[in-house]
Amino acid sequence: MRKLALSEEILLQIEKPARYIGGEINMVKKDLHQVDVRFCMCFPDVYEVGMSHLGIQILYDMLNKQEGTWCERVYSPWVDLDAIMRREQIPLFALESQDPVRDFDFLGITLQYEMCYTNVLQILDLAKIPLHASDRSASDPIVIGGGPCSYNPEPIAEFFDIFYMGEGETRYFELLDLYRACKKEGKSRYEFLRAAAKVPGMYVPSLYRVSYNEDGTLASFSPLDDEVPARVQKEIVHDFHDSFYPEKPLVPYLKVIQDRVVLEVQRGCIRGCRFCQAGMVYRPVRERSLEDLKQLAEKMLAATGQDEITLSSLSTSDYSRLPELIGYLMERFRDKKVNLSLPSLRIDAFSLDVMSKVQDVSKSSLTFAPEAGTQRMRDVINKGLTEEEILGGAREAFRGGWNKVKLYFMLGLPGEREEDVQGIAYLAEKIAKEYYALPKESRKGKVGVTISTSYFIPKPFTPFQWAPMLAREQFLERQRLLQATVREQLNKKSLSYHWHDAETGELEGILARGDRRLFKSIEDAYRAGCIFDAWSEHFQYEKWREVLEKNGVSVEFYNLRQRAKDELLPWDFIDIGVSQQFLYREYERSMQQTTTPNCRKQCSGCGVSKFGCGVCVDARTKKGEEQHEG
Amino acid sequence: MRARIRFSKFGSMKYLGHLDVMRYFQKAIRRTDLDVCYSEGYHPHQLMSFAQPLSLALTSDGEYFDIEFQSEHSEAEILAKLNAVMGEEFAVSYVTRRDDYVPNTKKTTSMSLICAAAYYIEAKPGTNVTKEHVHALAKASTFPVLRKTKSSEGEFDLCKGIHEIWELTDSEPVCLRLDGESLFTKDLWRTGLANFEREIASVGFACLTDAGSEKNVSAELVAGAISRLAGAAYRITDYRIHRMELFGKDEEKVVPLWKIVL
Ligand code: SF4
Ligand code: SF4
Repeated sequence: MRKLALSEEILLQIEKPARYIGGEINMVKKDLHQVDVRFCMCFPDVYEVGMSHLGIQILYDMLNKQEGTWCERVYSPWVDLDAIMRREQIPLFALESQDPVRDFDFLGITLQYEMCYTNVLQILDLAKIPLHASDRSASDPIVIGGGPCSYNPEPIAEFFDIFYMGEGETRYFELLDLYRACKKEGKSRYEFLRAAAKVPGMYVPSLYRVSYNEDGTLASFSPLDDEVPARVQKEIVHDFHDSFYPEKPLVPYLKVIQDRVVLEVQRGCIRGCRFCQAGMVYRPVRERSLEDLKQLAEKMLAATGQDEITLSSLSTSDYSRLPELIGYLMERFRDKKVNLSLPSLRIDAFSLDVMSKVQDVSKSSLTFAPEAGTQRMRDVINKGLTEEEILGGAREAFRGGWNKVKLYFMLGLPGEREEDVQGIAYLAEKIAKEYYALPKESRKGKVGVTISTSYFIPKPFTPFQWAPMLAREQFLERQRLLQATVREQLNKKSLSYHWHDAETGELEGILARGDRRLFKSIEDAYRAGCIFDAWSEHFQYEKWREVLEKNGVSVEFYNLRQRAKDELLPWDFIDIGVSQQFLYREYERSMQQTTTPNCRKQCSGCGVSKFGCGVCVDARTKKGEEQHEG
Repeated sequence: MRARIRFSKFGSMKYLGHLDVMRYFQKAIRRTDLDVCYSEGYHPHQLMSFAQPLSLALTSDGEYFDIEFQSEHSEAEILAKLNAVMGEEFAVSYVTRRDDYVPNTKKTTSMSLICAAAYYIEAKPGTNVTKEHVHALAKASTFPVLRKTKSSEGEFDLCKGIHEIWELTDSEPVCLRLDGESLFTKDLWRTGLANFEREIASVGFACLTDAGSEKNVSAELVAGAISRLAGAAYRITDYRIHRMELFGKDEEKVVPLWKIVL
């Protein structure tokens, strides 16, 4: 029997013990005698969430391709096991070897959302790794962070030895080889970290000094000496053809959230919605070739036996070879009964046609993400989706047999007025009217329009990074206004409204644009028992409030104030390629309600063309670049 | 063609529940190039049906499912192809080609054939179970227990549902209880424990119980009776339970399911 870290007594008293046994199909095992670097990759949330993440699968596959490196996985033990591990002093273990994580050379943690920060501490704590990077010794793993939240790593900088800025495919081998060399030469942890800071994309927080002004804003942020780079530029894959992608993804036994083969068609997005961090930090959009995707689909389905494949990207409708790809997948896997799932397609004649072929129209719903209720507001956020497109799409869909529509919006966008909030209800009403305008014979029962709102949270590296966020009470007011307006509509029985709670948003806002001083609050919240903050049933707002208050963290300072153009922001030392001038110009244009064309229509000179790849290279031929850069 | 597959689930796979095992096999079959049949509709599923679900915490060498293929394959081909895609702690042991069903008759499923099951039960060292408790159960003429079935919950005489009890010693197994003809053949001892490592320090015994959807006597009911005799509350972690085989009626004879071609 495979060795397991947990005893049968424990495994049989917890929920879903299969979360902790590893042994999945396509799991990589290596002979420890042939391994000189052990890397543990962590997604700090429960197994079913973590196993659904594509990024980890890519890096797992890639790192295991390197001879001498064994990459394993770990996820957050759920609260039931967490309590047992603490009580019985069981160290956190990796799934593959079931060995303690503390014995590894590296612990890589992907940071997908701010609300996972207390789970990061849970991981370190259960692994018996000192929480503070400065307290770690030669025998502790190097703790390295990556993923979207590392674009403002400052609130958690204290807990990490290194942050890897950007896409993981490019520099890991170099970093691990450097580690091998340092180990061979008997260099210390500190010496390794100093050397690592010179590898492009690596940010070693302990090598930077920070000071603050009296008003609490950042006064300076500088490297300790001039051997440490002052700015860290994000890493990107230039051409996916020469990069990595798992041909044999792991196949979990448990039903995970993404229980299917994931085909990433492109990375980045051409659209430039002004609230969207992913749209900025993953620039420029880079496509995978149709040929590569076909082959990958083939290999992954054969190696996993999955019965569903999904196309993944920020905006799949913009993939230039989409019709050919979908046509191929439908044709090729028809006999094998592979289901094609297509999230986030823009609703138009093409997508409706495809969707009617792959799903049961009467059961599925149509999704629109206008994000704002009025055209004025959509111009502010640069969401290029017009009312006519939405209504026309809905009309077409209703004719095709759909009768359920889901609409996603944000409340509290910069400059939002009452009429913009009410506009959400009016838009939903107009959609319902479109349905009832159809002749009775072609309707199938009642229409259902669902409105969901989330609260707008300004994120670093977006044009709204300077903008104030609304206070909790203001969010609630707007939510009530919208609710009341929905109730006033003629077709109110066909409309339903769901909203996110404003408490999580407030904390997320603080953490998203926070600075180094926040680590104390995160640690205190963790010590007070906060974990799984991303799970509403586990989020303890009151505890967080107390901790923030005790540490003098002001919601006003982090969330509610307008930041000045020349304020030094905690993440300014990171170079994502997109220039600050561009972001600010976009902020100004938003206030004038001026839209900016997408990268395919016209290059707006955001600065990312310096990477010389993706859409920028195609766009060069279409003037525009020179105008802005000239 | 229709086939009946016998498989083993062992080691750490004991932590998978029945639904996980079903999902595992659906994917495993898709990793082969066997042309399995699907149902119609938007969400086609494989024409596959499992016999007698095994609960989490149990291991087994006697698991079964039925499956249909579009074209003819030899039993050896199916066996080899499935084993080529198995995980470390799953194995396929027999593939039985089944007689094609006659139109307008109901297909017999493995589940509907089942009448008995053989289990090996081991009380772990550290529990106060001794072989005397096993002997006591074997000798008992009645043993009332509470039993829940799909349709009812009520008192039931466990002795009516246990037909054989064998004590495992260092040498040959010794029969402690037997009604009628024994199903514990040499073959059963071999195939039923193929993927189970006995712990010599434990008190171990094998039993044959009624099984099927009507009158099922689960191995946990038997282990629970042993705990009661030992004066302890039943805990699943006090035992290791391994299903050795499932039996069905072929004409009037009771034989392992894989021997039945219906
Ligand atoms: S379409 Fe807009 S919101 Fe969506 S990923 Fe692109 S920039 Fe972001
Ligand atoms: S440089 Fe131009 S084409 Fe490239 S991402 Fe920026 S705006 Fe788009």
